[in-house]
Amino acid sequence: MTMVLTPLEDEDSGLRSLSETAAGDLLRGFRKRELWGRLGWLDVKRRYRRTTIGPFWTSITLAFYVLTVGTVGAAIWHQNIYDYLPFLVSGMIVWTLVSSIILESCSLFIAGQSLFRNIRFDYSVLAYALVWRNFLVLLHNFAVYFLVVVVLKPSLLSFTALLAVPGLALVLVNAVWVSLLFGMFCLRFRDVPPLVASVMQIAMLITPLFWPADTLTGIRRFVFIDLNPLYHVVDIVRAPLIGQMPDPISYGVMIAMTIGGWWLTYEMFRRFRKRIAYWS
Amino acid sequence: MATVILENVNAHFPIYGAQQRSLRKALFQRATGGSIEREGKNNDRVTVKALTDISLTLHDGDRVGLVGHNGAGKSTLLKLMAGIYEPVSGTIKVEGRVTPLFDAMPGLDSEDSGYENILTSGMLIGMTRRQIEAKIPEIEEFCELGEYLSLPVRTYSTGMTMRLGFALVTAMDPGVLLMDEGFGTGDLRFAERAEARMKEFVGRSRIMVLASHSDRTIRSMCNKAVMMEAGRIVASGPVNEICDRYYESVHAAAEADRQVKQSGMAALSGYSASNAAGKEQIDAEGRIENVGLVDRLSRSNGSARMTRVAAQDANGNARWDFVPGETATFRFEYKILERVDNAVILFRLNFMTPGGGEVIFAERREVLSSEPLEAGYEGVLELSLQVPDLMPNQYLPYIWLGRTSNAGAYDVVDVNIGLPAFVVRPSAEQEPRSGIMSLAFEARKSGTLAQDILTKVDAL
Repeated sequence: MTMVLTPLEDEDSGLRSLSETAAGDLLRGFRKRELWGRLGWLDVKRRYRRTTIGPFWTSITLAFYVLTVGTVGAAIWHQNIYDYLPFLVSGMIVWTLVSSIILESCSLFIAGQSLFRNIRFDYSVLAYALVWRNFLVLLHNFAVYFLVVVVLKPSLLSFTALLAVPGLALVLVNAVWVSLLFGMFCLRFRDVPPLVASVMQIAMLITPLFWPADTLTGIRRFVFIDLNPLYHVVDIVRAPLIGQMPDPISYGVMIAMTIGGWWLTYEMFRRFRKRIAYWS
Repeated sequence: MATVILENVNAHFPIYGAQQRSLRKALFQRATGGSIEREGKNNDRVTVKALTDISLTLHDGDRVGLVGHNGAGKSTLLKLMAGIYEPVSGTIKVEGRVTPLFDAMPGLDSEDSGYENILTSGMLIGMTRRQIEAKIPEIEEFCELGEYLSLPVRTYSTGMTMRLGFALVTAMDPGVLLMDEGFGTGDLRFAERAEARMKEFVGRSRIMVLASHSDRTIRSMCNKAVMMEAGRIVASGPVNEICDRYYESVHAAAEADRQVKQSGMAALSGYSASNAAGKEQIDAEGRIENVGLVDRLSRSNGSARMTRVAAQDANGNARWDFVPGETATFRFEYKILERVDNAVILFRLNFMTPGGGEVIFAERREVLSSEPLEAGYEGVLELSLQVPDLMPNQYLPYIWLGRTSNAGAYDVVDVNIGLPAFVVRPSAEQEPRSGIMSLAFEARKSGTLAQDILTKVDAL
């Protein structure tokens, strides 16, 4: 990745060009932690304004889902409920995070138009806010995981579980480029958001969330698991949460995705950043 | 020190979806006036050249008015200076903080409280939390919202929201101030304080650029002006010189427009004989029987015809400009060309918004007859109005003659055919203020069945 670092000038010093570089946008945007932190947090808060338990509503929905689907699923897949529920809940937590980031990134710039068409804006702020917002929701959902695990299998709360943290960090780093790239793409080509929505619906069924990855063998396993990036995304966070080591391949894929994804996004952002306001 | 330098700046808007039905819509919204070009293999990419080769240098103390028609590129130029759009080519360099006033409260959310919104908008504008918190007492004091600031903004009236936005924006350090016209301010008493604060705010700015259609605003607030046409700067210099020039060009354009319409008319057989191009203008009497029929018949079925639209004062002198307090009488004469079941006249005064839209300012609906009217009927409707303290402005008349059900026009006339605008001039004693009022028209109707019957022409 060739990132040319230009010094970030202060607003008030000397004659400066109004055009912003892609790197400048990404860095300056990131430095506005106060702003994207606030935008992300307010979004969470607004959704549940005037409710009593607020964002925990998503957690409660998740808990219901896991309990009911989990009971049925344990029977279908002939699983022990003490293993199956923690597996399902940790998978669903990560899936909720990943799928809502992907779906929301489709409307990142479409919904943000009113902002950047009226004021000068670092576009990356919107992406950081999106990821931050979903991270906050994730934290609420973790309550369900703890509840399930403490009741059913407290032994899972070990040092292995801590491996979920670097995994999650990798996921979030990737989430930023996904938001930016999908955001730009969907702003320009308005056919993409519905397409992404239907792909995600199918992806939920073919990614091993409800059934263990080992159910599949041979060519099927290769196609739906090894070649499925979403599996690796889920795996590096889920595996530690159910007391397993993530597949080394998953780490490899994630690191490759981080580098490749950021390189692609940076190139696209560098070339088309200027056009975002015009596309809207 | 503040400086703004633009060098050979170009801005083109690609228009997507132009092949579908939205072409018209897209063009009207985005750039009436900019030149439209088609690019790509099959001419399938439509681009509007919003700005072409703009070079401009502004220094400390410059108060610049941008004048030009709707779509001349004024707002686009402001948005480029604000860094919202980046030019396709050319450079823009700026020294000093840039404050665009296009949206007083960006990111406004009606569910959040006033305080929360101050913080969000302030951060979006580029202040830090600490800077905003330091300004909060000043904002509280100026917007006079008191306890309301802790309530969600959805509980505010429009005026209150505007006050909040105004108080927030004017609390900042303006630097280079960019304004698109129509930065409004709530209710009456607030308007006075707002004006004083606005003056002080503009006074604090190093450079101000203002786009406005109001000649008076530009002349009173600016010391320089830039005239734009179809995305280019056609003239710049001292404010009075440019404004005069712009005024002349507007008149010339209106004249040219009228002539084009007339020559279009000449092609219409049956009407061209007695109304050769050039003759067909609205005379001092306001006779419009045969004026602009192409336009009129494309919007109506032609069952009746407006024959005269005139305005006069209390002494019977024909004129269209008034100062508040005078009595204006609008006289509408019409003929029925084909038996109609009923008839109504809808009289509107509209005005243009900064965005180029037309807003209905006042409307009077007068039923001429709920009984059928025979062909040959000639009628008169007079609407009198004691002109209240209206904002000095041009109000564009629009007259719709049609069915009482409002579904089907017999004739429509407005400025398109060259009707003059109803002009309200500032009166000496009138203080500027704002508020809502209704216009109390008084109506008189009469009519006779005439012998001389015009033949009806089918709608175009």
